[in-house]
Amino acid sequence: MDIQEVTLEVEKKSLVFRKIMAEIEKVIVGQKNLIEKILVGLLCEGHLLLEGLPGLAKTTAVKTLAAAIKTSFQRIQFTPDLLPADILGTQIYRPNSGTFEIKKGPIFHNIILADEINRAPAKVQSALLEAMQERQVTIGESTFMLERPFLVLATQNPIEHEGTYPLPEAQIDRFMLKIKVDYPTAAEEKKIIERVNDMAGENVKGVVEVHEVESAAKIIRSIHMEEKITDYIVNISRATRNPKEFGLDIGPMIHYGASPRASIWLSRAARAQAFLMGRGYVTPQDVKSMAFDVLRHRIILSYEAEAEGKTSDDLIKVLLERIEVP
Amino acid sequence: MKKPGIGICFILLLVLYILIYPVYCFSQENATDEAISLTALFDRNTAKAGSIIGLTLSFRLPEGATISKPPDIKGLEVFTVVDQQTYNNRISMRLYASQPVLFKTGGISLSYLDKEGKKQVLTAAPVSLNVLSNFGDKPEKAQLRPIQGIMPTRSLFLKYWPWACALIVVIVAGLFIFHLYRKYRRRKLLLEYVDPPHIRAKKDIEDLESQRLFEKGSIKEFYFRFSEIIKRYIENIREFPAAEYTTEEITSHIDNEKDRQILPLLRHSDLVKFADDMPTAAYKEEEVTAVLKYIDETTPVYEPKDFKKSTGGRDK
Repeated sequence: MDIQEVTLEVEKKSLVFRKIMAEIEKVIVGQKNLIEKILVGLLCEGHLLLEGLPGLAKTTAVKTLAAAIKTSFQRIQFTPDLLPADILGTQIYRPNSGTFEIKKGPIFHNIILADEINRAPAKVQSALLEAMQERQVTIGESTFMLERPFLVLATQNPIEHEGTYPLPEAQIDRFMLKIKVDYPTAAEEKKIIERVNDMAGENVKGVVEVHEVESAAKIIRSIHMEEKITDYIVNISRATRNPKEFGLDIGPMIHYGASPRASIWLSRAARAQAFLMGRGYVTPQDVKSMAFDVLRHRIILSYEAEAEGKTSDDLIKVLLERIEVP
Repeated sequence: MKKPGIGICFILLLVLYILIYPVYCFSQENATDEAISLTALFDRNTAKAGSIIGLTLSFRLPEGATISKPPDIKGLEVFTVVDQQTYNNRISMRLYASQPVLFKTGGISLSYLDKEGKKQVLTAAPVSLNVLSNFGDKPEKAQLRPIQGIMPTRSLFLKYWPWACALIVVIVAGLFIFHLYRKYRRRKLLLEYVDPPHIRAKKDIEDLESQRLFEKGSIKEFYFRFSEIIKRYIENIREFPAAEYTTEEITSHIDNEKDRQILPLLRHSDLVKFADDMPTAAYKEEEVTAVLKYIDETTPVYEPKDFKKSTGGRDK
C-alpha cells in the first residue's frame, strides 16, 4: 500500500475512533489528552499508567471507553492484602464431583482498571504485569489466552506514598505510556457540575464493535514513517542516555536514560497519533506530542535533579527544544 | 793451716752482691713504672662507622692515688661514649664510632689524684683504630638518599625544574593553539554571520537551486533543505527557535499576518518530506518564488549595531 492508499484507509477507519471520542466526551468534560492517550494505548495494545489525584475522572473515562467499544470492563482495587489469585483466578475443589474447577479472576476482561497499583505488594504487581506482558494466564496446569483487546490501565496516586509498594523501574518500563491527569479548567469544571446535575453521564452507548477496533489497530503498522523521523526518535532516546552528545548540559540530572524499548513505543505511539489525526504518515509533531508520555517514566532522575526540584517532564522539554526537528 | 773458707765466702758474697744488686735495682725500678701505667686496648683494629666498639683502659696508680667518679678521660672526643664501667684497675667502655676516621690513641689520658690530693695525668701508649665508611672505598661517590628533616634533601624544584619547564612550555603551546583555533572558529562564524538573515537565506536558496537536487530527482532532500532554510530565516527574524519546532508549533508561535503566508508552504514541505508527495517542477518554482517574496516582505530593518539581535540571539 502506498501512502495515499494508507491515508484513505486511515481516514476511513479513524472515523470509528472519532465516534468513540464523541461518545466519551458525552460523559467526560475536558481530559481530551487522557482520552486521546487511552485510544493510543488501545490502538498500540500498550498498557497505560495513569497518575493523578483522586476525582479527576480516571475511572469514569476508562469505564466509558469500555462501554463505547462494547467490551467488558473490570476495576480492581489494589490493597495490601490482595493475593495474585485474587486477580488471576484459582482452582476450587468441588466435593460433589471430586474435581477441581477453575474460577477465572477479574483479569479475564478486556479493559482492566488496576486502581492504585502501588498499594498491593510486589508479588501481586508482578502477577498482573506478567499477564500484561504475556497476554496469557496460567491457573494450575491450564493456560488461558486473554481476549483481545486487552488493555490494562493502572492508576497511581502521586501523593500519600506511605504504606505503598512503588513499582520497580523494570516493571514501570512495561507500561507504554505514563499519562499525567491534570485538573480541568474553570470552564470545564463548571460544565462538569452542570452535566452531573443533568445526569447526562448515564447515556453512554456502544458505538463501535470490537472487531472495528482490531481492524484499526492492524493498519497502524502500515502508517508511513520517514527515515528522518525514525532518526529523530532515535536521537531523542539517545539524548536521554547521552545528553552531551547532543550539546545538552542536563547529563548530571539523569541517572538512567530511556531504553530502546522507549524508541519502539515512541514510534508506535507516533503512528497511532497520526492515525487519530487521520493521516497515513507520521510527522515530527506526532513524535513530539507522544514523547512526554512515553519517556517520563523511563527517565530516572539523579539525586541532583530531585534536589533541584526538576521533573522528568522538565528534562524532556529541554530535549525536545534542542534536538533539531527534521 | 790457715782456714780459706771465710775469704772465699766473702768473695762469693761480693760476687753475688755484684750480680744481684743490678737485678734488684732494675726490678725496683720496674716495679715503680708498673705502679703508674695506663694502657688502652680496642677490641678490634677496624670497625664500620655507626658500630659499637669496646675499649679497655688498664691502669696502675701510685699508692694512695684515686680516680674521680666518673673518671676524667680525655682524647676520646671523636667517639660517643655509650656506657662505661669502672673496675679496680681497668675501665671498660663502649664507644659509638660515628665518623669514618683513622683513630690513633696517642692522646688518651686519665686524670687521678695522688695521695697528697694533687691532680696527676696518666697517658696511654698509642693504639690505633680504623673506622671505615659504610659506603665502600670511595665514600665521596656514594649517593645519599635524602631524608626529610634528617639528611639534607635536594630542593624539589631543582630536581624537577627541567620537567616543570617542559610542562609549562607544553601548556603554553596548547593554550596558544587553542586560542588560535578559537580565533579561527570565531572568524569562520563571523564570516558565516556577516550577512544579514535575508541575504543569507537568499544565498542559501540560490545555492540549493544551483545544486539542482529537484531536477536530479532528490525531491525530498530538496524540500528538507528548503524548509530548513525557511525555518532558520524565521528563527533569525523572530524570537523563537523555529529550527527546533514542528510546523504546528511554528503555527502556534506566529502572530504576524505576513508570516502566515509561509505556513501553507511549510505544510506542503511536510507532505513532501513525510508523505512522499511529488510536486511538479512548476509548483516547486512557485514555492521558491513565494519564499523569496516572503523574505523581501519581511526583511528586517535595523541599524548595524542591532545586527546581533537579528541572529535571534543564538550563539551558533
